[in-house]
Amino acid sequence: MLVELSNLPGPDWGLMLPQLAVFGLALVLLFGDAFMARAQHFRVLTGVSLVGYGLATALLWTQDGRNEATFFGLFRADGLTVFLSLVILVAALLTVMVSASYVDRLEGRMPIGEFYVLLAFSVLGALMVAAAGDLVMIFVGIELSSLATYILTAFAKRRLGAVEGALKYFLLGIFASAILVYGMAWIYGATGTTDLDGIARALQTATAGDEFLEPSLLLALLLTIVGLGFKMAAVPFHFWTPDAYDGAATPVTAFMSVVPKAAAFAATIRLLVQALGPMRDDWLNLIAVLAFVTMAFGNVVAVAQRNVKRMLAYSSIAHTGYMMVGLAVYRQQGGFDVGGGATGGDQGVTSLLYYILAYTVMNIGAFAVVAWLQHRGRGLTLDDFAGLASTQPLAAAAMTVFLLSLMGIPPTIGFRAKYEVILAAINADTAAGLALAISIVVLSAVSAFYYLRVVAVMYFDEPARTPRTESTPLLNVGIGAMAVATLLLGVFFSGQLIDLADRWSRALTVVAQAGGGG
Amino acid sequence: MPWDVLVFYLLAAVCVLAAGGVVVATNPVHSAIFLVLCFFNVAAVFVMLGAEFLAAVQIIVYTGAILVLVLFVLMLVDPDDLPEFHAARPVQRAVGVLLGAILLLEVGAAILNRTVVGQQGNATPANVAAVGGNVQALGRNLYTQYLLPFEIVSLVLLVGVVGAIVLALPERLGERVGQRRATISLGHPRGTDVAALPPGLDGPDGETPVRVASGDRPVATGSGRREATSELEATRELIMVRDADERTVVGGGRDSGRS
Repeated sequence: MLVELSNLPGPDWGLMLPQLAVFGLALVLLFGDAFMARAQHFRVLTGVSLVGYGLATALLWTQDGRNEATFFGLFRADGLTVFLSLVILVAALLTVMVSASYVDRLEGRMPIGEFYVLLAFSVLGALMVAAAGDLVMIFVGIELSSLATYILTAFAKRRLGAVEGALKYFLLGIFASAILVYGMAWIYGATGTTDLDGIARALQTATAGDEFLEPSLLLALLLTIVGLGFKMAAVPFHFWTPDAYDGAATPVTAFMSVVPKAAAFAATIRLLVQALGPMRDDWLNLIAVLAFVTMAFGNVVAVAQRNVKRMLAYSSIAHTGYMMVGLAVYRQQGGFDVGGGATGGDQGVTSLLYYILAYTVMNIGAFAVVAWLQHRGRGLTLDDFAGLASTQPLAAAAMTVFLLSLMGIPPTIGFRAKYEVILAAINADTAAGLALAISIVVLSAVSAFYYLRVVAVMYFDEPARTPRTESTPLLNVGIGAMAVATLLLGVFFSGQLIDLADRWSRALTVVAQAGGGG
Repeated sequence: MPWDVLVFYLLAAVCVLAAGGVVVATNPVHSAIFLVLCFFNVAAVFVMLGAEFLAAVQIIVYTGAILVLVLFVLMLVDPDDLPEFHAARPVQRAVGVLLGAILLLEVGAAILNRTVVGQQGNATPANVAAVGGNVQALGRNLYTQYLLPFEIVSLVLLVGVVGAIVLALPERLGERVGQRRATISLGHPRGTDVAALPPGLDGPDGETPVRVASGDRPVATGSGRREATSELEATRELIMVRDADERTVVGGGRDSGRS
């Protein structure tokens, strides 16, 4: 039956306070940009952005433990929503800190008001994907997030590289979106619903006791994985990544290496685990192969890069691979239980979520140091990092912390995250899991080469020239905070954070819909 | 074979052929016309499925708005400037054809080997008739169950507008418009290019426009900027004629500044 208009339940606005806060932030920024003198933009709008994201992050606690849905089940506030929203909002906060002075001063003073507006909309789109309970929501959220990111990529439009990267990203991105929608259409055709839980229920009855692989569902699975693989920059759908990451302004690169990726993983977890969970056996192997190819390719090609920004782009591909391992070793023992049987969190997905958080801090940090150097008139190549330790020891130390964390050296957060993923892969107790665990270890050793090369250049080479002095207080605070977080979060609070990530599995239990479906 | 099945296959065949024509045609205008043909057939298929509203939207939005826009763009672009797609890169082309063929086979296999019959959604003919037709049914779904994504789509459009302005606005104009506290008056002599004015006419408070910071990198190429400026001036002359005197003075000043 179609929705009955009489006795229509109203939406539960209280459930979506963080998302509404970001939406309000975007509108405030839009109006502030239009009606304030340009001279005030930098100071006021940066402050407003920081306060807005801070407020949204604080409001996440109103969603914690609610495990409810509203808007006819399209918006879900469950454990997965809360954790991924936390990651996305932290990334947004850090991006504002990294980008404020860069956007205002470098590359011919980009319009900072529009920059923050697009940033807020991109964050809002990612938040919506994290909270999606329906295929339509996933798609619309991804589109909102991506469209804003395409524009941000082209923001430094004076540089041809930025326009080129943005165009590649845009064209391949809309193509991938079309493939994703095609896959969703097949899923809808086979199950008759776009509701994620409804799909899981329909598949459970359809695949019960049936060894035969259903071709149409398999095709749907394939198409959605291709579409999502593009969004998360998995090999072989990564061709846009180096050019877009290299071409975009550095703070934008920092942002787009984290938030769209987090949104893509949110969509993947929602789609594969929550909706297509009953056909888990079919996608696990596919994801495992993709994970291996992605981390192998990213690490091997990164070795050849002399441009540090491009090297970090390939390294982010490699990290996508590590994250996918967490998904590839997903196992919900005893079949998929929609009726509320899923209690303990799956270690694989928990480790993936924790890895995204760790990656957010260390990856934005590494890009932040690159931006910090650009402020001081240095370029992006390895030579520009020469002798950094003797001229700017603190920046060199921060960069070293980030690179060691990306490599996975204890006691950094990167080590802890990698450890959790490897542990989950071994505990999965399958040949594929073991192989993936071994390849993470081996490829981390490969990655040591290119990460340590930067460290060696910073500490042992002679400085090429004296750097320009420039004051970037907000960026300095951001780098400092990220360096401290990278060093300490792996040791302290990691238990709490992993517990928080572990609550994702409550997304699998049927969500109590307040007000009878409203 | 009943007639509606025949009609369906006719429509489908024309649609597929037209879609092929879009890809194969070398002239982009021909591609666009093929696309129109394709959309019309899709609209006809919608009618056969009982979705008259979608058919109307298909015609109005796709053929009426989007494709006309595409044609406008094509007419504005010099055909010689368009890249040559068909000649170069034989390897990529072969791989593309191969992958396309594999995808086609997969889709065919999926259609032919279906064991799970697709499940019916809630928009059955009976349900649609119960609420008064498919416009009503669509409206109900959009404004109740799918309200949230519907609203988010409006944000997507807003982002598109903001992005188009950011990417298309000439930088120098944007710089000045921003400085002027939301008074976007292109008609004002100082709204466009003050540098061309003689010193005495520099404005009441004598403020000069901020030059675009040269930064570390070279700004746009000289010729491109000059062209943009002269284009703005031409526009200005048309818009800003408020009285004969002002026009004479400004025009004269510009000419002397140029020479």
